[in-house]
Amino acid sequence: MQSRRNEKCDPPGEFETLVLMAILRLDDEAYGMRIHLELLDRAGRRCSYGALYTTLDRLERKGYVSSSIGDPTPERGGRAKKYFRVEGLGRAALRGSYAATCRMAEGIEPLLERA
Amino acid sequence: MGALKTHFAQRLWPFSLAASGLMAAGGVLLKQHWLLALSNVVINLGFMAKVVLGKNGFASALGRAFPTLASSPATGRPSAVVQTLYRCVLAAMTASILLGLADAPLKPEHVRLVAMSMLLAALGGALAILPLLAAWIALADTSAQAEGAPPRSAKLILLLIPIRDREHLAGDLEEEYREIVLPQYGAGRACLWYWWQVAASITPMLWSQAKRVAWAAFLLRFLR
Repeated sequence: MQSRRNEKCDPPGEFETLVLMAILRLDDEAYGMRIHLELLDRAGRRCSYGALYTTLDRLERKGYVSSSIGDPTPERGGRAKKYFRVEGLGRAALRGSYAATCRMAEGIEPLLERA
Repeated sequence: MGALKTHFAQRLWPFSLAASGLMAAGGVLLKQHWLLALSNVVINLGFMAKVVLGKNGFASALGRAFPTLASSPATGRPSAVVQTLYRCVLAAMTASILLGLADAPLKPEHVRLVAMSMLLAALGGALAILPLLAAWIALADTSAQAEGAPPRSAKLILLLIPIRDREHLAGDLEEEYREIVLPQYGAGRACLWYWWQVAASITPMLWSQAKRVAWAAFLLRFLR
């Protein structure tokens, strides 16, 4: 039943999954720079801000995340932050993607060792 | 940068004035309109360099040798003598063009020739602006770096990014630049990092925009 529900919503790609996880981890502090640094620190994933914002736009169009505008700050040259938050649809897609990865990863360790 | 600026203004302005005068005289004597147009381009190039860049340099170097030709130290503008010379050359050029046109009945090839001359002058003017623009950007970058801000010229490129994401993306870049990259790597490498991020950021965003436009165009064509 779980997997059938996931088939209906568009499953997130690898980078989209990482971005969704970063937003979940950062909670209220999830804005562009923080997400960028989280991806670099935890996943070792270097990406440009352009690629990050393109992905965030796509996730927003899919209804996986929503955004809100914060206050302008001087260290950003007086520009406002754009905060992101994972929505219910995004959580469901992430849960499905994570469960699928876990199922596929079962028993993979010995096979990797053998290779 | 200051030395380069002074050097540029010192060398270019007297040279352009002399070269323009010779070209204008040659154009009048030989009745060649393209020479007149070129002289106009040359004098304008020199004059712009003088006014925009050569405020103190010109006054200090040439002014010592020829005090009457020196700029006003207060405003940095050319002296009355230089301005009169400039106006004389322009008047001579205009008169020669009018005389040349009056000399013969106006034919289509004359109109074409004048149009070509104007086009040449416009092209020369645009080309003359490019080094000045580059010099201005370099000066702006230097002053921005002194304030601990990212290079302004790279910020100009961010204007290519769709307005929806531009402010947030530029803000994120600036925050990371100021808070993390600049203290960790220093001004030179931080500047390189910023340029690299700008270049890497505009590519996927422009590509995404191009795909949307292509889809819209395809749909429009399909509906027609």
